[in-house]
This record gives sequence, C-alpha cells and structure tokens, in this order.
Amino acid sequence: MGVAGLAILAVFVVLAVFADVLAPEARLSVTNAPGAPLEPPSAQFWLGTDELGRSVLDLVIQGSQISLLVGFLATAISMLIGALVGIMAGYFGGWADVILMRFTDWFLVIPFLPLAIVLAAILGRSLLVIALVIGVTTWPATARVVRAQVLTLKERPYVERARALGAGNRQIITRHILPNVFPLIFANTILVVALAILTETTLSFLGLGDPFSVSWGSILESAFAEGAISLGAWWYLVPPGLCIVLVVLGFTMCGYAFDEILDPRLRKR
Amino acid sequence: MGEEARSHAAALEVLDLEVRFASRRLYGSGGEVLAVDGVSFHVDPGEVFCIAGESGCGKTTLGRALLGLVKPHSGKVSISGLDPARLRREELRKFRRRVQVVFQDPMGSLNPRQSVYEAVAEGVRIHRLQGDEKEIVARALARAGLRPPERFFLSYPHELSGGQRQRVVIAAAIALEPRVLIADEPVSMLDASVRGEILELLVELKDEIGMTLVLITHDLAFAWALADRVAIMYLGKIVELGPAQTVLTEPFHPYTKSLLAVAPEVGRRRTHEVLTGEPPDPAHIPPGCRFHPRCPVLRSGEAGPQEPRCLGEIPALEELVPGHRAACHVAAAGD
Amino acid sequence: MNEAGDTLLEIKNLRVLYEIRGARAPAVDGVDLTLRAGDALGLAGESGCGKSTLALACLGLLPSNATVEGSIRFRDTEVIGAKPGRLRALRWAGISMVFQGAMNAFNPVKRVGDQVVEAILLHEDVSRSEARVRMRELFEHVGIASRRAGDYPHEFSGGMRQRVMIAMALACNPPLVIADEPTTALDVMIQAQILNLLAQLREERNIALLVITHDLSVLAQVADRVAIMYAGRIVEEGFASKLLTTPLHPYSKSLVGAFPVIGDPASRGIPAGLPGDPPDPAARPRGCAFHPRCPAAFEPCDRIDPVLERYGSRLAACHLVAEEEA
Repeated sequence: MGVAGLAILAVFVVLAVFADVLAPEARLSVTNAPGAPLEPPSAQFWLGTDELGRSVLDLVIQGSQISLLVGFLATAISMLIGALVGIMAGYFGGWADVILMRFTDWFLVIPFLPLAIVLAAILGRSLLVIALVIGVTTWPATARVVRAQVLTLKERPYVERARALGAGNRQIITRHILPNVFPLIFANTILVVALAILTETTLSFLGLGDPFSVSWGSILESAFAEGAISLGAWWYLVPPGLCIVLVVLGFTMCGYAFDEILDPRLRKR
Repeated sequence: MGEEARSHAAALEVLDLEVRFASRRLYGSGGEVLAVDGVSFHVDPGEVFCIAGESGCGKTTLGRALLGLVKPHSGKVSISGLDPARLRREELRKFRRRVQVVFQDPMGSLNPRQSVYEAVAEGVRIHRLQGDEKEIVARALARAGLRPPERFFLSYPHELSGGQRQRVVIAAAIALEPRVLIADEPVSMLDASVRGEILELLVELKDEIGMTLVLITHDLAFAWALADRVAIMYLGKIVELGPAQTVLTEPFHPYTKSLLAVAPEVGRRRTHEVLTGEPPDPAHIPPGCRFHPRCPVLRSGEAGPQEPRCLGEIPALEELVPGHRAACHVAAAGD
Repeated sequence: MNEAGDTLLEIKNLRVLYEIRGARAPAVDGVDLTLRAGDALGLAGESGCGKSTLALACLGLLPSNATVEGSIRFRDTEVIGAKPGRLRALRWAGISMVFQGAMNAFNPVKRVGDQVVEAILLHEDVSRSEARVRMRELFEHVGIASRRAGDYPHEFSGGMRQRVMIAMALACNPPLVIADEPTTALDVMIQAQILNLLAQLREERNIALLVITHDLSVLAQVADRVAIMYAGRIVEEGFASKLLTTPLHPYSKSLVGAFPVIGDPASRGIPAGLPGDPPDPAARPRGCAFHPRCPAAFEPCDRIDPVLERYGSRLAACHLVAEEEA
C-alpha cells in the first residue's frame, strides 16, 4: 500500500517540479491563449480549455506547484509548533503545562475564516499568508494529541529507568519520548497535509489567495466564476478536484507504510 | 547508637524517611498521602536485603526514594555517603552510577524503539565510561548471560523472551558497575522456570561486582529463598525487621504472622485464616498502631492491657531479640 | 444440581494449530483430558505451553487462523465444529470462563452492576428486573455488598473486581467454570480470599473447576488433580497433593522447585531454574520436546517421543520415569 501511495505522490511531485517545463508559463499567458474559450477535451487539449482559451491540463499541472507547496509549508508550520508545544506541556507539566495549554485553547477557538480574511487584508494576499493562516489554525489539535501521548509515555517504566541511569531531560525527550511519539505526529501530519491542501483550495476559491498564481483552488474559483456548471464545462471543474483527492489518498497510504517502517514491531520479517 | 557507628560501613542507610504524595483519587478526599512514614534501616555491603509487603505499603515508593526518583519530604538516604535529595545535576548524575534498578515489567522497562545495544550503551554514554563503548556493552551483555553478545546488538525488545529482556535491563545496570542494585519484583512477571536463572544471575553478579542487593517484593517465599535480612512493611512503616530465617519462621508481629499464614505453599493445602477487609489504604491511616483494625491479636482479646496503646500509640520498632526488631506493643510487652 | 461423577468434559486427542509465517504450528499437540462434575483440575505450565489455547478451544473461542482437530465433548455436545447457535447456548450456561486479566476488562464508564446485568440478559431469557435480582444475589454470594452494584470499576479494588468476574461467570449456573490465571497480580491476602471463594462456591454449587495457571502454589490450594503441560502436551498428571510433593517428570520437578517453601531450609538458596526457553511450536525438538533443557536426558530422549504412561494414579510421559518405575 505504501508503494502505491508513494507512486501517486511521486507523480504529483514530479508534475509540480517540472511544471514549468511541462506547462510553460507562456502557454498560460492571459492575453495570448493558445485555444478557443471553453472548448471540451480534444486531441490537442486533453482536458479542454478555460474561459480564456488556456489548456486546462496546463493549468492543473501548474496548479500542482502552488497547491503542494502551500500544503507542505502550512503543514510544516503546524506540526512544528504543535509538536513542540505538546511535548513541552506534556513532559514538564506544572506551570508550563497550564500556560501552554491555555495558549493552545485560545488558538483552538479562533475561527479560521475570519482570521484568514483579516490576515489577508493586513498582510496582503499571498501564498505565505495562506500557509501561515493554515499553520496557525491547525497546530492546536496536534498539540493536544501529542500532549496526551507524552503524558502516558512519561509514566512508562523505561522512562523511569532512563532517569535512574542518569539521563537528563533533554536526553529523555530526544531518545525516549520523541521516537515514541513520532508515529502519532506523523499520522497527524498526514491528516494536516490533506487538510492544508483542501484549505488552500478553499481560500483560493474564496479569492484570498495570490491572484497572480495558479492553484487548484484558483482554477475552481475561475470555473465557478465563469459559470462552468451551468455551461456544462465539466472538464474545467473535475480535474482539480480529482487531483486533490488523489494527493490526499496518496498521503494516507504513505502514512500506513511509514508507520511500519518506523515501528520495529510492525516490520514484516 | 550502634546505627551511627555502623553508618560508615553500611552500603545504604535510611534515616526517618518520609515521602508524601498528592492523593490521586478520582473521588473522595484529596490531600496528601504519606506513602513512606518514618522508615529507618541500614544495609551492609554485599548483603541481600528484602523489603516485603502488600500493595499500598510503600515499598515501591521507598525504592524510588532510594534511587532519587522521588524527593522525600524529610529524612535522609545515604548511599556511599551521598544523599540523592541533596544533590544537583552533575553530582546527582554521578550518584546515579552507584545505584541502579531492575523493574518488574521487562517489556515495559525497554524502549520498544531502542535496540539492545542502544539500551545498554545509553548509560555508558551518559556517564562517559572509560574504554571502548562496544566492548563495554558486549561485556555487560555477556555477563548478563546473553551470549554471544554481538548477536543481540541489533535485536529489539519485542524479539526477545521475557527472561532475555530482563537480562538486557540487568546488563544496562551492571555496565555502570553500581554499588547497590535495587530490584523491584525482578522475576514476578517471568515464567517460573526462568526465574531461577535470573535470580542466580543477580546473586552471582552481586558477588562478582561486590554489589549490595535490595529486593522489593510481595512474595515472602521469594524473600525466604534469597534474603539475608528482611523488612516487612505495612502502611508506610516497617513493622518487623531482622534475619530472614528468623523473621519468616518465628515472627513477632501479628501482620507478619498473617502473611505467613496465607502464603500459598506448593507442598500442602492450608486452611486459611484470612484477614478480613481490603488491603491497607494509604489515604486512610488509622490512629495508633496502623494494623490495629485488622489485628487478630486485638480481635481475640489477647492484647489485654496493651489494648489502649494499640489504639492510640504508634508502636516503635524495637529490638526484641538481638538483630530482630518488631513494632508491636503486645510483642514488646510479652518479651 | 449436578450429579457428582457425571462426566462433564471429555477432551480426546485435541490438537490446535496456528498459522504462523506460512507454517502450521501446534499450540496444543494431542491432549486427552476428562473432567467430572464437581472436579477441580489444575492445568499448569509456562507461557506458550498451550494451556490458555486449550481453554479457549473448549468454548469455541479460537481465532479464525486456528485449526482444531480431535474432539471436545461437553456433555453430549461436540464443541469442535459446532454451529454458532449451539456454541452460544453452551457458553455461560454450560461452561463459563474467567479470563486472564478480565478484572481489567471492565467498561470504565458503566456501573459494575449494569455490566453484570447485561451479561445475564445476553444469555438468559429474563426481564431486566429479574436480572437485577439475580445480580444482587450473585454479589452476595461472592462477598460483595449489593449496594456496591452502583459503583464504577475504578472504585473497586483488584480483588473485588475479580470477584465480580467470578460472579459473572456464575450468572447462568454453569456446571463448569474455567478460570485462567485467577489470582495473578493480586496480593497474597486477596489471593487467599479468592481461592477460598472458589473452594466455597465449588462446595455449595458442586461446580467443576478448571484452573489454569503457571503458579503451582495456587493449584495446591484449589485443585484436586493437576496436569502439567509442556510444548502443547500433558507431561504429567495426578493427584495434586501427591504430584506437587513428589513430582516424577523432570520438568515438573523443576517447576515445583521454583516455588520455595518458607521454613524449609532446603528452599533457602536460589530456586533452580531451567536453562533455555520453551520450544517454538513451529520447531519442536526431535524426540522428547523437553530433552534440550532436561538435566536428566539420556539415550532415547533425543530420538523417541515418550508417551503418557500410567503409574498407579499418576500419568507421566518420560523415559526416565518409565525406567525408574519399571
């Protein structure tokens, strides 16, 4: 299963990396589009064209770059903060726990859409803003889950034994807590990446993204704006959505495989 | 008096130790629980000293206090002259080298993501032991009976049997050449036929390295087989202390007598005189002698004139026969 | 009630094979056992000897990757291959079981009394209020005040939870109760209480008991007969009082020797252990399965697999015993 997942992701990553080669910017020029508007799929344009005559396939390929990039960046922000807060709160307990958890609760309550809009208004509409917004609104869930796990791990005999051996806090956290909480963090990462990509799509769809770059969300935005549904231009709507589904599926499959690799107990011998 | 003179020769000494816990109950009273309440004893070098009692008696907490894993409320622990509660960081780390531990659950005692090599090498690295790390680890594993040691370097805990896991834990402990080894129910989770080997190993190592062994258990038969001296604990206090041979055959304290009466024996079926009531609850300590609500002597009226003392006065651990002490008003009066 | 002497459980040539890594390994490898009404049989052995597997087989509770051969007859029902309906009727009302670690298997958010009532309702066609009445009766029987039925599991001590488990096992008045490690993890005092309880219930209701444990000292208190298992087979069987004082098979000897007797100077010193580990079911040694660890192994032991032979009231599968008793 992991291989299949990896394969799917590999395809998309390759697409994203070579997007500029496969779907050169030139072909996506707004003024000099290669085809007629809203043409259905044909031999020349496999996925038809958009309202400006640009190849939808080119758009989707280019879009993969942004969608994946923002997704990964947001996830990185989210996981880093979430894991750090969760581990510190769980391991050190006491005042650190109380303060960090109140802080976490505060962030949990922030409704993400208003925040996104506000931040977009203040910081300008850019990919970084989107990544930031997603990161900042998703880390609390991770923090709570990680903290719960750390609380359990702290009580395990091997942690006590490590302390009896003379290990300091830093050693215990890095050698005993982190490796055993990592699968949980990773599983969470999978969920967050999927969520991040979907969220980016949503934000772009709402017009909060970078108006000059193409992402799957912005394609959907344009499609809706042009009335693709009532016009029956399914080739415009389906591909971006399908890509998102495939990427999320790919990550989930990888997630399963990764846990096998990381947990010595699950390795097939 | 004799305690002071001995303290220079003792491997381990405990004086009036008190350890408190915030009560962890989901219901009922909160507040603090005195898990260890004024415990004093010493252990001679090379001795096998057993601390025995049921759950809730405080023996596990006492073990942790000896290891410096919990901070006592008051009192003193002295191992090779050092008290872990008064040490900081670097000195505490050096102290840790002298006292090592073997816990009850072999599987739980090993990090499932750490290989055997790493598990043993961890201590070696922390204390920066002199010599080639690989050699030290190999030697420790071999000494703990895992031969050839190299075969186990890359094994993970789930690939080993219970006995092997415990050996890894022992190897990690002895790699540091500790003075004192505290073993909390080291074999109770192992199969009966494997126990003998592990116990044999512990005793052999004790002689080889010159360690002192402190065994914590609820199994008196275990104490009989291995211990030189034994201390029986009840609700945070030591109620009887002396050579295993006499404490377990000619006990003074009614609690010890009850424990011995119910200890199951392979050889014969016993008619049980079972103590009524649930095991002692450290959150509800009775006044006077802690054992008095369940004491068969008191119940049968044999306490006689001592009865008011049992109800109101905490009995002191007194030497009733040279080397053998008990905390019981009736026993003390009878002598 | 049950007539003393009725044969309740008859196991003939039972084999249970598990599919492990492509190969089929026997967890139970040819076991014969008979239990009569009111009997108390102890089954002893270490982890991996097959004793728990045997117990699960009696109730038809083995996982799907297990193959069962032979015969297990409870009264007139053949358990192996029985239809699910028959099995359900058998479980709890015919044979009930107190599982290992069951005292920790309570649902933490449901009251204890409710959990017992649920168990009763699952097996008996009674109304909820009738089930409640029965539940309270059972609690009294096992020595728990019935007002505690409204408490949650965490408010019960380990010993009390185990007693509730026993109460549950008795809910449908079965003639046979299988108890797997009933006193492990309990303090010695509580252990004595539980064993007393089992003995008392046995007397009052003439229940047959099959007690499975690795702790021989527990069996000494509660069993009339004891069977020692090793590598999926019974290696010795006999009256508890005799077997546990004078074991014949070298494995039994080492097992008995692992339990020091307080007050016996011969028990001072380390209980002799056995080198090595029990064999991997998939890689059974040739000849006698115990021979690689046996201190008394001699010529035929590594070639010929010994059979269970009768020596008076004792059964033993060992060449050495055969020679000595000849």
